[in-house]
Amino acid sequence: MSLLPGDKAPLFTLMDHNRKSVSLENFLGKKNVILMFFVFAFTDG
Amino acid sequence: MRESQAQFSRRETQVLGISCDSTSTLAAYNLSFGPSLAYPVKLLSDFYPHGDVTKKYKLFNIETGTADRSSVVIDKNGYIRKVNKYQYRSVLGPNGYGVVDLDFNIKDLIIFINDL
Repeated sequence: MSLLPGDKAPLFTLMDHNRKSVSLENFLGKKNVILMFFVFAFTDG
Repeated sequence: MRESQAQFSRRETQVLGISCDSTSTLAAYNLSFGPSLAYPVKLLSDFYPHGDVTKKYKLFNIETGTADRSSVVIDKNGYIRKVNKYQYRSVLGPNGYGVVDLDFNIKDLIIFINDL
């Protein structure tokens, strides 16, 4: 079962490649966010 | 010259890549593009607990242990507006590996965001 339009986006905090934390909350109220889920680095995405 | 609505929407949009790779793998991946060519999207590691965020978005594939290729549009108020599951179009990157053709893959989403 997928998430659907209108659902609240689950909040998260993850580390980037520099081990710097990035939170979805940082962008709320400022920017739209596109999440692109990838399979693995070094592949076609 | 006045910027187009699409350019405006692109500027008002943050693109984040998420995979179940470790931060070390993502660091190596970024380095593979060379010192002057950072990967165009900020890449986030959903490695531990493995796939935790991907599972919350219901995009975790339990057979492969990875995310399913997909995009999620979240508006400024934190609500999901679109979920796309698809094969990304890829091109050969300067690092010798296939890389996601970012502009192509987000084009339709930016048009969609224009109309929000």
